[in-house]
Amino acid sequence: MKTGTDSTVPCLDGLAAFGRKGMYWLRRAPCYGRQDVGLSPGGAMDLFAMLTGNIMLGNADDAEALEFLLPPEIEFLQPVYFILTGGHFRATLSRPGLPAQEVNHAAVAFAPAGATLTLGVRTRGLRGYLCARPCLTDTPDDEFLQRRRGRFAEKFSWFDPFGRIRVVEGPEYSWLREPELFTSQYWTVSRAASDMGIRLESDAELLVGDGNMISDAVADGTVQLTPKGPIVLLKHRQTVGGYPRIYNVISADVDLLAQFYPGQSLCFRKVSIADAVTAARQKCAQLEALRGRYSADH
Amino acid sequence: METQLIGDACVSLVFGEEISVENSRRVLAAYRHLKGSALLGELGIHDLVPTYRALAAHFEPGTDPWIVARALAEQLDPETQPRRQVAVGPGKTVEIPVVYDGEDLSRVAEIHGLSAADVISLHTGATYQVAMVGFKPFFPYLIGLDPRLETPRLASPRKRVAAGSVAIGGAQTGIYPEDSPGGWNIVGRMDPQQLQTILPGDTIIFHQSEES
Repeated sequence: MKTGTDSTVPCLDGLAAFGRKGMYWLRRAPCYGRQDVGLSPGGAMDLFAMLTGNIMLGNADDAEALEFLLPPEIEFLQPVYFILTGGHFRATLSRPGLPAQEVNHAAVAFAPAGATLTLGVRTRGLRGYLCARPCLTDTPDDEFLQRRRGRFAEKFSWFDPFGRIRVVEGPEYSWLREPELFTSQYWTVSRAASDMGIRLESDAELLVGDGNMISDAVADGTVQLTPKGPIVLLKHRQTVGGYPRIYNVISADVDLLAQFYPGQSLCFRKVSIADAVTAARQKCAQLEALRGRYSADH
Repeated sequence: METQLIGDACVSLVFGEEISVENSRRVLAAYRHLKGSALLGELGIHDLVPTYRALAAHFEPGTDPWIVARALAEQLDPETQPRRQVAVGPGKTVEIPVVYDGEDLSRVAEIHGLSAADVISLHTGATYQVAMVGFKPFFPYLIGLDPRLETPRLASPRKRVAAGSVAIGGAQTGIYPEDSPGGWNIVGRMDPQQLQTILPGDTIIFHQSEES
């Protein structure tokens, strides 16, 4: 693709320009403190994926990253180190005067100024991330190019080994006539999915007894039971809601939900609050271990 | 005061069961008391969300929610914290000019056997408390509608209600901060920019404006 000022937008602190075609957002870490006026913290939908990318590059945690559902054409405007995390997309780097190069997932790579990154077929997950930092030396540093995170499932262990999404009871859990119906079957992510939340479908119908639900606070991962079935709220959610909050996805697993695509099935496992806190601490510790490994900065 | 957990990173202190001025006042007093308190930083709390009957605190995952809940309850308990209360004044009073020319104004009047002028006079005559803000960014939920103006929501919501529309839905009155679908009865319009300055606990007074 020929890029020019009318077809691309410079981003990531001027390191790259993105074509206008695609579905993508520039994301940072969540922005707190305004939920009392109805603004959710938002940020990267799969924050863990974005953070691992920034950490492996030695970037600040909240360095801007590109999040994409449909990746745009990407041109690097300066020599950069970059990394792809989150959902897997086949990636090819085209460099002026050099053969095209395949780019591995979750491994730091180098791109000279003028190189273009083409992301193709998605092979895993839903949302991909691109993190980048400038390379200030004439030739890339070998130490950087050897930074490989390894496979998510082998490198980390804070999630459920069987891929289930863990939930705890919500404030209106006791209203459910058959609460175990939620955790005893597979659900399908409907097409009505967005950054605000995903709707779940199944043959079984969850029923609540009579209760007078008054609009009240919701959180990331809150499972609301609407007349059309359950909705799981994601990071760009509203801050209050008027449907019974029957379950809540544990804080650690909300990032995982960002990688489920419409039509995919998922199943839930009920855990205790203590288990949820343990998972959050494990996740944090494993991120810190990664940070410890790559914190020697250049 | 009952404590509910909304996941493992949010606790909610529940002050009452129904929507009432009294419950809202208690929630808002707790919200104002805790907002800006050093305890929030100590507990990793990054957001406080007051609602009609509860105050939710969102905090960093990994902290034991019951420890957060206990610390907040202690801070709010007048027995254990007799005089440490920081002086917390009431919220600000915001006067909102409204052009009362909403498409449902005459129907609302008809339903209640009133004239349009009566509806306007009842709507501007009341003082409203901002009980909570949410659903959409800057959407204020107001308590204080004169019961004589309680009007059922539309049987089928409109696909688009313009930003700034002042509306009545059941026993509530509210303002749409952005263009959105909506089923409330539109009685007037105001400048939606003004909503960005409104916080939970503020008082709102509507007054009739000829043209905005």
